[in-house]
Order: sequence, then C-alpha cells, then structure tokens
Amino acid sequence: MSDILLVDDDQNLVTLLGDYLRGQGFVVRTAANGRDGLRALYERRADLVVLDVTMPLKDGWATLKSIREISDVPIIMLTARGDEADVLRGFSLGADDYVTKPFSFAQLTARIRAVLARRRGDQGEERLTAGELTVDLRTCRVTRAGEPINLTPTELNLLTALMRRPGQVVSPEELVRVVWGPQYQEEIGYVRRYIWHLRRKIEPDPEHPRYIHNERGFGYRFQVVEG
Amino acid sequence: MWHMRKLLAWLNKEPDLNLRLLQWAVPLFLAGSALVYELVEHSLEGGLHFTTAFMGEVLLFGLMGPIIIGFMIAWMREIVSAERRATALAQELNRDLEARVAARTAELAARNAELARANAELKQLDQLKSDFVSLVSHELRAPLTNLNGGLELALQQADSLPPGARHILQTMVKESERLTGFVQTILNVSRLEAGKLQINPGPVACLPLLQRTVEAMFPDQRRPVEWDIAADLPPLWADEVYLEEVVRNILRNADKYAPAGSPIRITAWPCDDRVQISIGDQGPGIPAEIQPYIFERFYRGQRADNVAPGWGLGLYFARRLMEAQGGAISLRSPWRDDPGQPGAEFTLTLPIAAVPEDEDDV
Repeated sequence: MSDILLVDDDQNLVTLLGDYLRGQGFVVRTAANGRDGLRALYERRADLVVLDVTMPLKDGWATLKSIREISDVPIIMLTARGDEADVLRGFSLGADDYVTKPFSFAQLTARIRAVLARRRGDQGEERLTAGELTVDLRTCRVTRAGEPINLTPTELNLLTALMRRPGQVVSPEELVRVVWGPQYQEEIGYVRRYIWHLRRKIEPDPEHPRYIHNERGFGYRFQVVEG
Repeated sequence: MWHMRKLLAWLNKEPDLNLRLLQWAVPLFLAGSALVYELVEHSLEGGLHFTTAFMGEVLLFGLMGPIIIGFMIAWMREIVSAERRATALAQELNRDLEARVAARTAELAARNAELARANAELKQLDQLKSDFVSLVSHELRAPLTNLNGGLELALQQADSLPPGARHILQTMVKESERLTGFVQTILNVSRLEAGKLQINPGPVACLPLLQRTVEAMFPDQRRPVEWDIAADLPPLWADEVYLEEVVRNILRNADKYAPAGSPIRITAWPCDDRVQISIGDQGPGIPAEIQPYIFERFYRGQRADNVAPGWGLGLYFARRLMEAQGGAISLRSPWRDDPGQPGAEFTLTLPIAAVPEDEDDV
C-alpha cells in the first residue's frame, strides 16, 4: 500500500482528494502548506508527494526544491496554469509529473499509479537519445544539443518509431502502420513527405542527413553519422 | 590705437549712420585740404595767380577726387545697408521659424502626453485583463477541481445511492465538464490574444486526423458520417493539435444542432495550393442576417429552436486558430436543397505542406 503525502492549502480539495485516494487503496497524509509538508516528510517518508504550486508561506516551487535537497521521492505537481514555462520549470526542478487544474481525480490517480510504477522500474523507457538528439517521452519534448525542436504529435511518433530501432531499416509500410494505424496501409506517400519535413526540423543539414537515412527500395534507417 | 578701436566699435554699432557722415565728411575734408594745400603751394611759388595750372589742380584734387571718394563711400554704404537688410530679413525669418517650431513642439508635446496617458490607460486595462484571466485560471479552476472531484467521489459509491440521486449526480458531472470546457476555452482565447498561444506547424495527413476526431467524438456511432475525401490528398501544413480542436468544435456544433440520426457530411478536396475541408450538417441552418457575426467574439447564434446551449467563443476561437495557422474558416448556409433542413456547412481552408523537390523515393 503506497503512502501518499498531499500538500495543498485548499482544505476542500485535500479532504475530497484524500477520501478519494483512500478509496483507491492509498494511505494518505495531508499538509496545508509547504512548511508543514516538509515537516511531515521529515517525520516519516512517503512513497509519493502531490504538491500544489500556489500556496501561502512556502509555495510549491520552493517546497519542491527543499524536498529535492533531502529526498528523491516521486513528486506530482498540481499547477493552475498549463503554461509551457511552468511545466518546464517543474521538470527542471525535479518534478516527476504534473497535472493542471481543473483535473479529474481519476486522471490524477492514473498519474500517481504511473509514476509509482515507473519508480518501481516497470517502465524503463523515459527518454531516447542519439547523438545530439534527445526525445523525452514523458514531456514529449525533443531537443538537439539542448535546443528545443517543435514537432507535431505525429512527427514525434514517426521519430520515436525510427529511434526505437536504431541501425535497422524500417519500411514505409511499417511506419504507416505504427504511426497512423493499419487502416492507412495504402498511404505510404505520407511517409516520404513527413520524413522530408522531419529532416528539415531535426537535421542540422537536411540535404546530408545525420540521423535519418534513405535505404533506396527498402525504407529508412535511423543511425547517427558523426560529421 | 585706442581711438582707432573706439572708432571701429562705433562704426560697427551704427554703420549706416556713420557711413552717411563719412560720405560727406571725408570728401569735404579732402576738398578743404586740397584747396589749402594748393593755395599755400602756389603762394610759395610766387604769388597767388589764378592760372590754368592752379585752377586745374584745384579742380582735380579739390573737387574731382573728393567727389569720386564720396561716390565710393556711398557705394560702400549701399552694400552695407543691403547686407543689413538681408540680415534683418533672415533674422525675421528665423524668429518666425523659431516661433513656429516652438508652437509645433508644444503641440507635439501635448500629443505625446496624450499618447502617454492613453498608453498608460491601455496598459492598466491590459493588466486588468491579465488579472482577470489569472483570477479565472485560479479562482475558477480550484473550485471546479473540487466540484468534479466531489462528484467523482460520490459516484465512487454509486451502487449505494438511490437511482434518482445517481442520475442527478451524473447530470451534474456533465454540466461540470461543460463548465470546465468553457473555462478552458476562455483561457485559450486569452492566451491566443496575448500572443502566448504557440502555433506548432507541421505536415498533417487529412484523412487520419478527420477519422480519429470523428471516432473520438462519436464513439458509439450514433451519428452517421458521410465521407467524401479526395484520393491522394496531400498533407496540409497546420498545427495538428489545434486543427483537431477546430474540427472537434465544428463537429460538436453540427451534432448539437442537427436532428438526431441525420448524417454529417465531411469532404476534403485540394483547391490550387490549398485543401478545403467541409463539414456540413442537416440542421436548421444559420439565418443570413447573423452569418456576418457568427465568427465574432461572444456572438451566440439565435437558432429557431433556441434550446441548444453555446458560449459564443467556440467559432471565434476556431477562426483565430485557423488564421494563426495561415488558413481560414467560412460558412455556407443553406448548403442543401431541402428547405426543411437547409443545414450549415463550415469550410476550413489550409495550405498544402511543401512537397519534397528531389525524387528521393524509397
């Protein structure tokens, strides 16, 4: 049974969410602000902390920093905004996941279970790295040499489909099946166009690809060519 | 030397008056000097005789010379006074110009002050708007979370509830979801207007996007959909996430207004370097007089039935999203021949994604 510490100044949320999580089989402790939350964590360790960002006395970011100084307990942030900057800040400070208000309790419970499972090592894959290219599968962020690259969800699926099989030739038919679904088997024309645009986003020099290579008559191969 | 300097200073002070004095004084002095000189000279030479030589010298030195010098001084005086007139004119023009510049500067300063005031007011308004949005984002979201959560918690024990109460709670969940969606749209619109909504363009294959949106909207297939999609439709250039949002929005409207069980028709065809996606319903249509306002903010169409709820931001947000993606949204109503169900057809126009130039086929 997992021990969850709930830190939020909204007493109604703490009560309702606490009851809901207990109903889902968790042991729940609560704290009304960051300072009390830290104290509770000193007294007894928790398996996971749910931390609100907007709190008096010590806000969520400051609390997150303090917790990270003493513990690597999984932390899920409750943010009021879905702003990209907020989310990135959260992850850079060491949060494991975030949920934006308003959220459903079922959704948060699913996230809690996923983070706990990830910590137990059930799901190892969190990021793919090749050369200067990094794909963070949690945040769906792609960076090249630290610089963010904006991909659409489908482009990201295409890239991860290729990156998961480094060095292997993947046929357009297979890529269509993985990225768009088996019902689009005939539409292999998508692949060539998507790859062309993907290269313009991720390759330093799209004319001389470093990552995605054509294997004429067979498909595409993802491999880092040092250049 | 001291006298010379004083003389020069005096000359400079009143050049015209002084030159006029000189014009007469110098020739008179010269004439007098020459006369005296000639009288003395000729007396010394042997008595004063009015000889031709004497008269000639007196005429030459005592009269002609001074007259010439007098004319020269008069000429100089003319030059000096012309110069003075020019200077005076220039000074007058300068004064006039300065006065005009000063007037314009004052006018501009007043206008600048006005602008600064207006700017400050606008900034204040903008700040008020931001404050309002953050109020919405926090003060509305937090209670909404609790409302949704409380309902979830209550429905966790649905089996122990009387059927009437369960039904009420389920209705409340739907309403709460609607309110949540509304808050989300307000936040999205304000983010878009503040330029904080980032458009992330890329190629978008039309058919998969439309089909998966329809499947997500009508999972139970209670709403039939007629498809008419061009074969080999090239991918569009759009923000996949927001395009899906717009399509979902239009489908939601179509579903809301069209009679139950009537089909929605979805077509997609290339048109020059663009693709047109049309979504048409068989509802009562949108009256011509309100069509110009349908994409405006907070406009809520007054349908004949006037029962279906809406919040007047959906189509506005759709238009802004389409424009932000370099596309457009338009409306055709009626689009069917059936006067009983004229319907409304929304058309999204988006550019085709650039095509690889090389024939680098795999």
